[in-house]
Amino acid sequence: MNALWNTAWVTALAAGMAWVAGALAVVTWLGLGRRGRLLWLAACVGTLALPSFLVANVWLELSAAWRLAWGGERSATAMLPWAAVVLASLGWPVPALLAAGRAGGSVAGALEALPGLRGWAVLRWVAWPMVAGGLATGTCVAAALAASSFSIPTLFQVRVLTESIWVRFNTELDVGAAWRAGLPLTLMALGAAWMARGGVARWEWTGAGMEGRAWRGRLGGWWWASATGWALVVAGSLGLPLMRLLGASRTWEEWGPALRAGGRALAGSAGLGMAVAVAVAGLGMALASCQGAARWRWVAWAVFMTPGILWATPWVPWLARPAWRGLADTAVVPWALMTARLLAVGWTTASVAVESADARAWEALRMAGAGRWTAWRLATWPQVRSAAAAAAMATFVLAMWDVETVVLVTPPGMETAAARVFNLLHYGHSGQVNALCLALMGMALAPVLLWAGATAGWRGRRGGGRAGMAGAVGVAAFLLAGCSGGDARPRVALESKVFEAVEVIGSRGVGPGQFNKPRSLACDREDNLYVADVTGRIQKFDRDGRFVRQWQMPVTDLGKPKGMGLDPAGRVLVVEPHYMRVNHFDGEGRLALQWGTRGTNAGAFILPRSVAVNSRGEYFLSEYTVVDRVQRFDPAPGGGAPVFGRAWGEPGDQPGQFNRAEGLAVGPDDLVYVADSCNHRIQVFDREGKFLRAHGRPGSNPGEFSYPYDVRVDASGLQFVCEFGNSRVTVLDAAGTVVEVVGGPGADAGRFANPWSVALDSRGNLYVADSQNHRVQRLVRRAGGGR
Amino acid sequence: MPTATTRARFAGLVLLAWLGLIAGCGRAPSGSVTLYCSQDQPFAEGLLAEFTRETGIEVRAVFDSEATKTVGLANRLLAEKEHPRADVFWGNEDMRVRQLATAGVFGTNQLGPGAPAWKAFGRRTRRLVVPAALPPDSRPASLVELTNARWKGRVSLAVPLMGTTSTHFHALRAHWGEERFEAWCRALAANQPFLEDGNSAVVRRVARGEATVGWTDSDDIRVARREGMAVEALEVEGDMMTIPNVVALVAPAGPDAPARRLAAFLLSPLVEARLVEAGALDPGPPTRVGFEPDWDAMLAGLAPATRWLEGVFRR
Repeated sequence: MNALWNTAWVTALAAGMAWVAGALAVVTWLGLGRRGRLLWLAACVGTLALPSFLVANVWLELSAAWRLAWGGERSATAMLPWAAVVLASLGWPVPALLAAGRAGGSVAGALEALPGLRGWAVLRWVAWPMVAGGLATGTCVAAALAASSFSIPTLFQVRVLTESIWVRFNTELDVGAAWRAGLPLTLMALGAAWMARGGVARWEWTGAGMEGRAWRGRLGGWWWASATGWALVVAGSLGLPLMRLLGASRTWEEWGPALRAGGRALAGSAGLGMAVAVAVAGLGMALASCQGAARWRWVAWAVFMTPGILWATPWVPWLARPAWRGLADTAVVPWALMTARLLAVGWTTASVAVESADARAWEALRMAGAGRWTAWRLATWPQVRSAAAAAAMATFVLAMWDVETVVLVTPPGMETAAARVFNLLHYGHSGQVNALCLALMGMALAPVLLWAGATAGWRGRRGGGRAGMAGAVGVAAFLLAGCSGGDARPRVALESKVFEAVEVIGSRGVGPGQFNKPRSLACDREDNLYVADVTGRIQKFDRDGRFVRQWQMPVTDLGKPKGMGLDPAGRVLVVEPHYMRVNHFDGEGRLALQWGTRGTNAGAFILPRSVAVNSRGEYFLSEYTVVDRVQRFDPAPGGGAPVFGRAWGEPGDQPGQFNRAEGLAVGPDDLVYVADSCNHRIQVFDREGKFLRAHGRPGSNPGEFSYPYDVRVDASGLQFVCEFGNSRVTVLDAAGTVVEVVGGPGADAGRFANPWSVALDSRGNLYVADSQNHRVQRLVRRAGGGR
Repeated sequence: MPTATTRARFAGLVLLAWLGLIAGCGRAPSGSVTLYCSQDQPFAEGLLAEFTRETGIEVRAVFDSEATKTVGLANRLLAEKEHPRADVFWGNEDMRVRQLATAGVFGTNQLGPGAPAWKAFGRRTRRLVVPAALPPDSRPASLVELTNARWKGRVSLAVPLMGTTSTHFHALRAHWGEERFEAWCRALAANQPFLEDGNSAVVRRVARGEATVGWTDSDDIRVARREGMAVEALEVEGDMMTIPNVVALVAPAGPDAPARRLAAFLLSPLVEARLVEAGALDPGPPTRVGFEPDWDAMLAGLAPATRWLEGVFRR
């Protein structure tokens, strides 16, 4: 009973608000010129095309902020009005469009019949009779859609009937119980469809410019008040979600990864949308041309307004039967269900077009001996194809957003982007949700722009055609850029003397090309990048940042690899601190050499942390814990494991002493640079271990360091110090003077969260293991930067 | 110059080809395996892609939605018991897999010689979560405390009909006994908790400050913390429980069948290590937190207890 009561309240509130917003919208529409009406239509369509999850998420946060700021009641029941606000903000275009459409041609000339009326009287006696019917019908449809909504009330903690159906079906798999629970909604859908059966909307554009001015003049302040109110509605329902979508940096950071991970889902959505659009437009046209079928159109609308989850439930037991297996493994069932659910849209649109078409040409062709099909194709089709395209477009968008109709019957291996968004939203992956929503909106817009461009071109408006085509191509290119698998990583300009831009490689995760706290980097001679993270994997990327391959360290029970470099043969060195050894891998991930033994004596290791090789082929390794030292190993005369050369250092903070030498590097002059991390300094030695100089002290000012975890030195002597504590990279010249500081704490591109390691490629680009942001950033070297 | 008829025929052919092509896209290719997966999609996808890359076997996954976690897929498996569509089931809790095994869904399948059709690995823990800024003396000390009036409207938990929350409720029923359990449930419902459609939503509700105490899974807390949410898990263990992942062989499979290879992959230390690193499983040795559930008692009263819970929490 509670669910029924909640459903009634949410529906009534949402319908009421949709009616008010629709009324404001249609009064505004009366006073607009042709261009204004196009923008008005775009706002309505844009609102309808918005992902409901995105809107819900925005208002969910707003409601929380509101209640926390103003001390409102925090109980679950207090959320009901918010759910209604969201449903109304999604549904208001329905009454608005229907009212404007129903008013249609009667707008033109309506004012001339009553020349003396102005202001409220015009609104009451002229405008209202024209739009009231459409508003009522549209409000019924909006109410039915609100009542059948499942995800939005659920997100707002409001238990509604659709949610009961969902839970009942999933806990008991009882189709009958689900339909019994949904009976009030079915009756509501039937009632709304029956009420709306009478008429269809027709759009009239002719003369809108002159009529708009006349309406504005005669309505006066009422028009301006309505327009202001409607603008606020659009700002809340369209502007706010769009601002959140486009303004969040995570949207753009996750753009490439989300599209690559969700490429199959986007393809599934596109396939579903296109197949259903073609079927609905075709079937709608066929039914519209069929004598006597129109009186059953309301049934199609009842199907449309009944919760999609109900239509899916009977299929689940059927699809489990062996006889249906062939069908169940294809996408045919979700397509067929969506087509049946959305048929009303195509049928009604086609009916309007067919009824409005001039039949004389068809009759003339028939009298001339043409067949029915030929006559229809040559005479009727040119008149109705725009309507067919419009129906296909609307269906395409609706099918792409749907979750509940297809979620239970989606075959194994198929996924839609809407279902993916629904799940990701639960997991709180808002960046990926935003990126996928943006992609879906782009997919929805591309055909509209293409259509607009094509029709403008046909009508001879070459500029318009080109603009439309360019828009469509732009949207398509934008989408493809995200899907193209790494070629289009976000590249953000950097204010730096040394670097011109920054690119982000990877995102958090355990899949290929994803990272979980990357801690070590190395570049080989071909500028391939190798990354070790705490999954114990080594991942290889090509010079453009594309994932190439990965391999798992064989044992990681004691700890994960940390410390990487390149040996004289160009193989990748991977240090295993907890296994006290060094591995040499070739580019394919094959182990070529492994050496090192546990111990504190010279030549043995205790927790080695980093490795570097000089021009003579000598290896330098740093260690900490029981010992704090650097050891040099010389190349073995006949190849094989290097042999101990010398060691230096001990625990302490004096020159030549160390406190966790976390990283080290060799400069162009074979000097050894040690990142003495807990002493917050860089120490420089010659290859024999003679202390030469040190720079840095604890702090966050330029020249001061906070846990410098790694250092690299380029051919010109520039030092790049990676500061774990200050989350930045400090660039110093050969004398140790600060050139600049790059980055700082943050998650945006060019900012860092505990960077752990750095690596330089042959072009001078600096890679940073941005450990707590679970990514690698490439700082692209400015031509001649710093040299 | 093509005529209108030629163009129409061409368009028709293109349309037919397109429909045929996309209809064929859904068909199962050879060398594929169908997986019903209630492990969180973001955690599972990368691993399944790695399996495909290593073996060339395509994994056709059906993921559970967070809102109906495990229960939805478990019911689907029950409905398909006679003619299973799934080859492998990867669950993120063990009560439902025990229910399926009892119902005979896995038949006589064996994961190895003499082994049952399913095997558990890794662990998560049921936990209480609070905002990090909440002073220590303001934090609840046990589950029982959640019925205290001071927490009215301030507790968040997932709908107790689905997922690990459902498992935990049924385990408490068997652990505490019917009388104590039912009294506690009524008192908790009277405290008007937020009933979320997933455990991750619980943590977000707490992180937003709307709820003060959340009752959720350890992995959701870990992921939220990685996302920068300032929340803390409470070391309240008395009435908490450990929840492993499970892998089950649903359809009969030969020794080198793709399904068996996938099951072996999912049960490998590599996958467990990756899931630990990703935060999906708790790190450390597989020690049990809280009490050992009485599985027989839980499964015996599952259906009526579920209906009773629905009546109490979803009035």
